[in-house]
Amino acid sequence: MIGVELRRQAKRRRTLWSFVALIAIPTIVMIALLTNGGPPKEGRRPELVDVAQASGLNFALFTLLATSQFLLVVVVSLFAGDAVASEGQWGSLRYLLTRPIARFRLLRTKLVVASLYAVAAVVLVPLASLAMGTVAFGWSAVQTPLAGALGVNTGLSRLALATGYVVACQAVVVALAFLFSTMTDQPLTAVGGAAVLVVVSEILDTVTALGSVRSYLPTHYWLAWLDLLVDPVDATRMRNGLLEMLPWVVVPLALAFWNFRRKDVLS
Amino acid sequence: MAAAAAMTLLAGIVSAANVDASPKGPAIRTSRHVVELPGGPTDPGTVRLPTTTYLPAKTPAPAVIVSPGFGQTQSSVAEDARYLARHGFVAVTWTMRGFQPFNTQGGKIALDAPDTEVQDLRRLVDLLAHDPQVLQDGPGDPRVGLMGESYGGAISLLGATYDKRVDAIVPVITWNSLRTSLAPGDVFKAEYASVFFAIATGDGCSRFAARVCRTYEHLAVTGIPDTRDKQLLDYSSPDPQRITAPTLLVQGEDDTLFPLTESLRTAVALQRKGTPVTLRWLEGGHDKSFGSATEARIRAMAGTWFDRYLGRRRVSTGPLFTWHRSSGGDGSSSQLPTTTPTALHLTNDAKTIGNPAGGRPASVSSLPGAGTIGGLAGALGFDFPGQSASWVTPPLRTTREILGAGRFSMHVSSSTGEAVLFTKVYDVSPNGDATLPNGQIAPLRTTGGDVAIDLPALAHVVPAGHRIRVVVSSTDLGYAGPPRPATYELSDPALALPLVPLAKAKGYGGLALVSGLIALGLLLVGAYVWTRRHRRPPDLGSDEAPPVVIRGLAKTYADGFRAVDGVDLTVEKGMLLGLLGPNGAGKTTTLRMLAGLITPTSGSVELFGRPVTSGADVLHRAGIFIEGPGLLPHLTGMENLRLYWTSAADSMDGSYVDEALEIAGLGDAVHRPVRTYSHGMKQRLAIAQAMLGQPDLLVLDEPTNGLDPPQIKEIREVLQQIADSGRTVLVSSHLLSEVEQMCTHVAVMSKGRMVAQGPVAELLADSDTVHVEVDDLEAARRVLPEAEVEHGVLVVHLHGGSRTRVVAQLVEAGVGVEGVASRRRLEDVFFELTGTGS
Repeated sequence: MIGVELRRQAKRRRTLWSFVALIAIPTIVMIALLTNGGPPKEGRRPELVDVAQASGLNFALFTLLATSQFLLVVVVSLFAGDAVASEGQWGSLRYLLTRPIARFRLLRTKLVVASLYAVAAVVLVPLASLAMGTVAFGWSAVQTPLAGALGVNTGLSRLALATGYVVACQAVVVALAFLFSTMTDQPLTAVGGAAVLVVVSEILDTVTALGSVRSYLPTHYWLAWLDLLVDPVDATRMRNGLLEMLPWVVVPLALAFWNFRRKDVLS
Repeated sequence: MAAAAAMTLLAGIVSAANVDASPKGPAIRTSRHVVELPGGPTDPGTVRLPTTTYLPAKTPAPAVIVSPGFGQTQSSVAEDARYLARHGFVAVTWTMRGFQPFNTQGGKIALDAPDTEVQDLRRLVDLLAHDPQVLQDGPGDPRVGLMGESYGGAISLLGATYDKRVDAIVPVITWNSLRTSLAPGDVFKAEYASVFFAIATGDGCSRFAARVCRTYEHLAVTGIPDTRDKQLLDYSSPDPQRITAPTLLVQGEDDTLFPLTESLRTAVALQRKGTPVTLRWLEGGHDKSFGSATEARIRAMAGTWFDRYLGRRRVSTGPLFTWHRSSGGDGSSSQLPTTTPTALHLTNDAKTIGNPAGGRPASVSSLPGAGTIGGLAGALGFDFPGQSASWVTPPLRTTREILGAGRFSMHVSSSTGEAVLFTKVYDVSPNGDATLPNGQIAPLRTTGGDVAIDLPALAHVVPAGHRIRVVVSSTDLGYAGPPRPATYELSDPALALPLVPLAKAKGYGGLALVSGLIALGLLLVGAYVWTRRHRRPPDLGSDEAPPVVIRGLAKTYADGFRAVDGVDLTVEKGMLLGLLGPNGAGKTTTLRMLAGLITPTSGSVELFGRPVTSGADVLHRAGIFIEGPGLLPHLTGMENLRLYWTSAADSMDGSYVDEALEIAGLGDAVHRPVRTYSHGMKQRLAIAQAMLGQPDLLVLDEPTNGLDPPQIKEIREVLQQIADSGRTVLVSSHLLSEVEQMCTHVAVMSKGRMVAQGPVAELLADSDTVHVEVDDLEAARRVLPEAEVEHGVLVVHLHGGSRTRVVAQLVEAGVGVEGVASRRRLEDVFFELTGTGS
C-alpha cells in the first residue's frame, strides 16, 4: 500500500520542484557567501554565518540553520498538508474510501509516505550543502563560532545528529499540516495553516513578557541543536526539546485519525 | 587642593577632531588629547601622555579604556578601540609612561605600580567622569571598563584593584603575581626579562624608573630576588580579593612568561570572593602570537563582556571556563580547573645530577617568542645527560587530559648546600617522541631537603598508551642558575597531576547515529511486517441476501437539515434500478451512505447481507461512481486504474482491466495524463474504473452526465448487458427518458423520502391517463371536453374510469381512433409523484 501511495505522490510536479528548490537554496546561499563574505563583521558576536566558509561541514551546518526555521517548514508543510486535502480537491478521496480498506490504514499509509517525503526533504539540504561546500571550501575541521574547532569525524557525526534533531522538529509541522489536511479540501489551506502556526509560534517565542510559558511553544527548542557545536555536548536543551515537542506531534496526529475515522466524506 | 592641581589635566590640550575612516565600517569620530598628569615619586614635575578617544554613534555610552602592551604606543590598540566604538562604547586609548620614544616628558616605566601608572589610569577615569558623552553611574563615577594585553592587562587588573569605579575588566595574557612570573621559585627568568628590558631601553636603564633599574640590575647580576626586589614585584601585582568588577580573563596556552597558572590564581581568588569571572585559555600567548582570527575572537568576547556588564544587556557570556584542547576542538566547563591532582606511579630510583660551571651548556625548554620547541627537547637531547634526571610513569590506559596545576615532590641534597632545579613534565609517545606540554617548566631554588613544587597549570591531552616523564635538570636557558658547579642527589620522586577523562566526542555521535538508524530500520521492518501479516479472508457476504437492503435510513446534518428521512429500498439481484428524484431529494446522500462515505443518523444499509461501514470487506463486490470522476490529473488513465485497483489488491489479476478499458473506449489516450482529457473522457474512464473487477453490484450516480448520445447509448447497452448477466445495477439519473428506456425498476425520492418504487412498467401502467390518437381532434374535444391536446394527441385523464369506455365514446361519436396508448411518460409519473411541475 505504501508503494501505491508513493507512486500516487511521486510524479507530481510539486514534488519535483520542491526538491529542486531544496538544492537551489544552498547554491544561492553559497553564491551569496562567496561574493559577499569576508572576515567576521565587527561589532557583533561571531555566529555560524561567519565561519560558514571554513569547510564543507561548516557550510552544511549553516545552511541547515538558515533553512530549518522557515524554508523547510514550508516544504514539509507542503508534503504533509497536501496528503489528504489534495485527494479531496481532485475528488479521488471518496473513491479511495469506497475501497474495502479501513480508513485507519489508508490514513496511516498517507502519513507514512508524507513523512518519508518530509524526511527526505530535510536530509537533502545538509547532504547537498555538504557536497557543494566540500567542493567549494574543502573537507576540513568544523570551525565553531566561539573558539576552536571540531575534528572532521566529530563534525560529521554532529551534523548527522543535528539533522536528526531538525527532522524531529519538523515532525511537529508534519503533524499539524496533516491534521489540517484531513479537515479541508483545499490543500493550500492545510499547507498555509501549518506554516502560519509555526510562524506565530516563532513570533510568540520572542515575546519575553510571556516568560516561561514560551517553553511550551512547539518552536521554542528548535535551535537547541546548536549545542552540538560545543565540546563536550550539553544535551539538556535538546532533550527538553524532544520531550516538549512530543505532545505537539502526538496530539494533532491523534486528532487527525480520530476525526478521519468518523467524518462524513462530502468531497 | 593638590587634587585640584592634579585636575589640570587639560592644561595642554591639542584637540584635533578628526574622522577615523576605517575601511571596515562606518566612520568613527576620534579626538586626540595630551593629558598632563602628576609625575609621582618616579618623575619630577608632570608627565604628558597622549590619549585618543573613539566615539560611538550614540552617546552617552559606557566607556572602555584600552591599554597597550609593554613598550607599545596607543596606536597598537587602535583596532580594538575602533571595534569597541563601533560596538557602542566610548573607547579611550593611551600611551603609558616611558613608552614614547624621543619624548622626555613621557615619564618613566614603573611597571604598572599603584603610585604611578595606576594613578594615571585613575586620572583618566576622572576625565571620563566629566565627559558628557560618557554614561555616568553617579557624580564622579562613570560607567567604565578596562581592557588590555600583557602589561595593559595588568594595569586593568590593578586599576580594578585600586579604583572601585571600574565596572568591568578584560585582562588578556597578564600576570597575577609579577614575582612568580619573573622569579618563579626565586629563580630569575632571565631570558624573558632581558627581552623586555631590551625592548624598552636604548641606552641603559634611562627609560625605567630608578627603583625598577635597581631591581633589574640586582636580579640580572645575582639571579636571586632579595626582599626589596620581592617588594617591588609584589607592589606591581593586583589583588583579586579587592576586585569587585566582573572579570573576563584570557590567557594563552603558549606562554611561558605569564603561564596559565597566573590566570588560574586570579580566577580562583575572584570566584572565592563572589566576583563574576570567566576564564578563557586560548592557543597562543607570549611564545606564539595570536593570529588575526584569535584576535578578532578576543575582541568579540570583550565586546560581549562589556555588553553585559557595562551595557547591562541580557546577553550570554558563555560557560565559566573554556580552553583550547591540544587534540583539537574546545573544551568547556562550568567549573574552574581546580581538580585535585591524581598521584601517578613513577619509577622510583635515586639520581645524581650535576650543575655545570657557569651554568652552561643549558637545557632548552622554550625561547621567548620563538614558540615552544620543547617538542624537540627529548629527541635532540636538549636536556643534557649528567645534568638532568628523569622518571617515567607506566603507560596511561585511557586518554586523559591534564587540566590544571599538578604537584611534584622529591628529596634534594646538594653538595653546595643550595640547589636550583628545573622540573619539566613531558608527554612521551610509545615510539619515544616527547612533547613538553605548553612548554612549561617549574624552577625551584632550595637549600635541600624535602621539596614540593607546584607545577605550572597545563591544558594538554595525553593519549592512551603514552607515558609521563618527569625531568629535573640543573639548568635552563631561559633562567639564571648558579654559576658554581655542584652535584645534586635527587630521590623519592612523587608526581600528581590533575587528570580528567576526555569527554568522548568522537564515539558519541557515531554510536548515537548507528543506534538511531537501527531503531529506524527496525521500526520500518516492523511496520512492513505488520501490514503484511496474515489477515482473515474477507467476509464478502452471502449470495442469498439481496444485494442492497436499506431500512429506515435517515440522515440529519449538524445544521438540522434532514437530507434523508426514512428510506426503505430493496434491490434484488439482476435488477437495473433507476433512482429518481429532483435536486435535493436525498439521492446522492443515500448513495453515499450506501458506499460507507457518510454515517447514517439512523437506519441501516446492508449489502449482500452485511452491514456497510467505511472500508467494509463486502465493498469488494461493489463498483461505485458518485458525483463525477475523481481521477489524479498528473497520472495517465492507465495508471489511475492501476492505482485504484491495487489500493485493495496485490496485483491486476481479477481486475478485468481490458474489458473496463474497452468500455471506456479511450484508445491510446489512456496513456496520456488525465489532465489532458475532456470531461466526457474522464466520465467514461471513471465509469470504467467502477467496473473494474466486474463487481456484483454497480452503483452509478448520473453516469451519462456530459456524454453525447452515441456514448449514452453505449453505456445503456453495457448496463443492460450487465444486468442481464445476473449482476445488479443501481443508477441515479435526471434523464428520465433514459431511465425509462434503460431500467427495469424505478425508485422515486422526494424531499428525503421514497415516494414510489417498483417495476417501470407497473409504474407507468398504473396510470390515470390515456393517449389517444384521433383523426379529428375538434370532434374528439367535443366528446370529451376535459381532455387536453398535446403534440396532436388527445390526452384523457381517466380519474378511475376505464379506458375502454373512452374509446367507445369516441367511436360512437364518429371520431376515428387510430391508436390508444396507455403507457404514459415517466416524466408525468415523476412530476405527479413528486408534486413538482405542471
